[in-house]
Amino acid sequence: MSEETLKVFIDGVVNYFRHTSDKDVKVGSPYLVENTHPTVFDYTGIIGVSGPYKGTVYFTAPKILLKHLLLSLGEHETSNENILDIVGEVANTISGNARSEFGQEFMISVPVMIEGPPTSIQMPQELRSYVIPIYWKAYSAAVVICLESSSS
Amino acid sequence: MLHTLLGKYRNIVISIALFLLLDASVLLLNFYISFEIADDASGVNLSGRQRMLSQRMVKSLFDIEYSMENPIELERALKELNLTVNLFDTTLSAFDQGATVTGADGEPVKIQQVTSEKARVAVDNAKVIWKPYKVLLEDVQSDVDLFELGERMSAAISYASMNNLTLLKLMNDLTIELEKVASSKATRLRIIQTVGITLALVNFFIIMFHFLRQLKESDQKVESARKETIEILETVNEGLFLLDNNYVISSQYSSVLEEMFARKKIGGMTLEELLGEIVTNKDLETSKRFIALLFREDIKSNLISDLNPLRKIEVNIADSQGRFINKFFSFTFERVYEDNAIKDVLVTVNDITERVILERELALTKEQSERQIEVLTSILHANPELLQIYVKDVFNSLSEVNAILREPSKSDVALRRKLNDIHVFIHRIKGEAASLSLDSFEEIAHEFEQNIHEIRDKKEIGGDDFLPLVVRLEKLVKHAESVRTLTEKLASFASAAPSSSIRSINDGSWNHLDDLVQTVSERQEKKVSLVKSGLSEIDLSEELRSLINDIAIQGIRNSVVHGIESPDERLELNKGDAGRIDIRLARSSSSVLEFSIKDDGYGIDSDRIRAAAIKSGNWTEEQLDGFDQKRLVSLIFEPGFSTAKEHTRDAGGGVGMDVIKKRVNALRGKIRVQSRRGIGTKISVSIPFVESAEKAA
Repeated sequence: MSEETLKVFIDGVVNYFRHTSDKDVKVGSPYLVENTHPTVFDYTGIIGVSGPYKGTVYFTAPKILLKHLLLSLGEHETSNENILDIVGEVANTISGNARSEFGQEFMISVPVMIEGPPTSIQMPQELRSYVIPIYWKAYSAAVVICLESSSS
Repeated sequence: MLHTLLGKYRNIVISIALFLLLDASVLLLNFYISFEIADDASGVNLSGRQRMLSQRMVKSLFDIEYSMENPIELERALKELNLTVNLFDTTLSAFDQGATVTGADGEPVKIQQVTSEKARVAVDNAKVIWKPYKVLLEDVQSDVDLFELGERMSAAISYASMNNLTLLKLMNDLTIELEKVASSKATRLRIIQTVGITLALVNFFIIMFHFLRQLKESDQKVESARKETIEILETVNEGLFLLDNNYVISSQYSSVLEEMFARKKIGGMTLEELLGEIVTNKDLETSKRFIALLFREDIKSNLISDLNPLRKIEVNIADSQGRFINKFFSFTFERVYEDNAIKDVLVTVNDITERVILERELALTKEQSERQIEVLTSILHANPELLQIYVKDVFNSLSEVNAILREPSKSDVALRRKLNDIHVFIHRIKGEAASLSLDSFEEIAHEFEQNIHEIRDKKEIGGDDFLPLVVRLEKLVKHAESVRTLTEKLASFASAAPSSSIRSINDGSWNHLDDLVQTVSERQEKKVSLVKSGLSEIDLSEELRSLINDIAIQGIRNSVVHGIESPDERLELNKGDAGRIDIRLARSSSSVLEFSIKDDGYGIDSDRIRAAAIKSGNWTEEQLDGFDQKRLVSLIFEPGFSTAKEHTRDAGGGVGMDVIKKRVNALRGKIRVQSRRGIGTKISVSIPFVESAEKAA
């Protein structure tokens, strides 16, 4: 896994937040987590990746951040549905960015949105994930990347 | 076509033709007989009229007799007789010979010659009576005087009264006979109709039963064939379907196909729709081009079978969790011909995932064992126990590093602090790796350090600048994992023969330090000799041994890199080309341990410290101006401080001294640095000391 690959996924999220009214989005220092203890907030948008790298990338955020995100985009209806939609939109941006960066060699799935505890995200238990915190306003969300090279 | 149709349905066609023929003949006979009956009816009618005419003739005779006095009435009566006689005569001869006569309605009616025996007798007898009767009646009509008329009348009346009843009876016989004939014809017609219709019905039922049975039989055959096909398609383990030349999948396909592709209702989909979401665009494009070739008549299939891009293809089926399930499918294509033209392509899909995974695992195992051998070679020279301690240390350090990375921080200052904190750990990993000559660890840690320096040099740093660090962190973790696996294995059978550092520490020879001096001085292209004393004489706790070892390693590296000059420089300074490092361990009192490391090098260059301090940006020139020599030298214990011109494997980290200071402080010890320009440097560490329990005992 190279830092360039990681960057492609982060850029997707950062770009998304740059388009909100509060452009001040910061990336925290990335760290590793064991997949036995995944980092998950209230809502998560997951995309599958296949090709030279395989695995899962997800964007996860607390409800309050997503509510504010909706408001900052001019959406005053902060229902559960809308929150799931916005998570899906961020995940879509990640997958869209990945598609344009990685091109034909990769397959990027349509995002799946879930609400709830970490148990609902299935990842290879023996692997580690990269967690990249995203700070926006007073909140923090994260992009979590668990990819392994197909050749090994 | 017609022939085969006849062949298959010959019986049916013949039966239907027979049915129609029967119907047609009944119809024809019906026509024929009904015309005859119509003729007979008019015959009956006219013969009845003859009866009436015979009586009218008599009546006319009497009419004439009464009208003798009145010429007008006489004429009328004569005229009527004339008409009656003519009509009777022509009709009778028509019955005799066959001719056309005037009917009751004044229209001409054709009468057939009577043929039946009784009718014939009646007509012949009538003719015999009629002949003289007719002459007498014609005589009455001749233009004669009244007297003569009276004479002829009495002759005629007398003949009439004699024969009238006979004639009437004969005409009556004729009528009855004609009626009989007509009636028998009608009966015949009914019989013919009944028989014809019965035959037609029988034929119809034969057709019905025969045809229905055949239909039912062939339906059953079709149904059982269909059932067999379905059974085959339901049980076969391969994905089977037909593809037409528009790349549309057939409506029938094996049921395992739905399972394989996790899709329903595949029939009617195009191949592109089926594959579009599960293979990469690149694979999809090549597959489409290949299938187009399959439908080209001018290309031989065995020529292109090698080109099949779907012979082993990775498909990625997204599940409800958003993950991809990776499978490997193998597609084979067989052309299906009809009338020598390619009609469809039979596609067979096999799930070869297990085979591919097995192949991969085999390759992976091979690769892993190669990598293990590589790792093994790199650690083989090191003592397993020491290595285990080291690896454990590395894991601890790396998890500390990860914990540091994990702390939330957004500002530049906070991130820089993180960098420094991380550097401490990584530098230690690197330093210890050098002491154990673990080149692989040293290399990764060195790259890690380089990354840290690159980030530090940036004007402003953000979280994403840390990406290379976390990538290296993972690399280190992975490497440490593979080394740990190996050391565990090694330790299990190498415990009997400890070697290298641990032994060298335990047996008091501390030979690994000589190795370190050797390695580092070679890399620095310097000549250095090491003199050790007292190390074996005092029994130390594990903790102290580790600290003294670390100080020695750090000190040796500092001395070789920073202190001792190159052989040329030394010769110029009349020092002799080889430098010397003295390591000494002694007890200065019963409760204090003194450890010192001394070199005969250049000494600490306060100008370089100053310059480095300014460069680091942590101190201003004004601040530094206020520092005395001692304070200036103490800067070497500041985190991340280094005077090296560039970061190399042996130097430029600058965290080593910082770490040592921390550890010494933790043991309530003291560090003293003495340095004289051109003479050398001596670092002394004094630590409160209690001899270990075992030793005391």
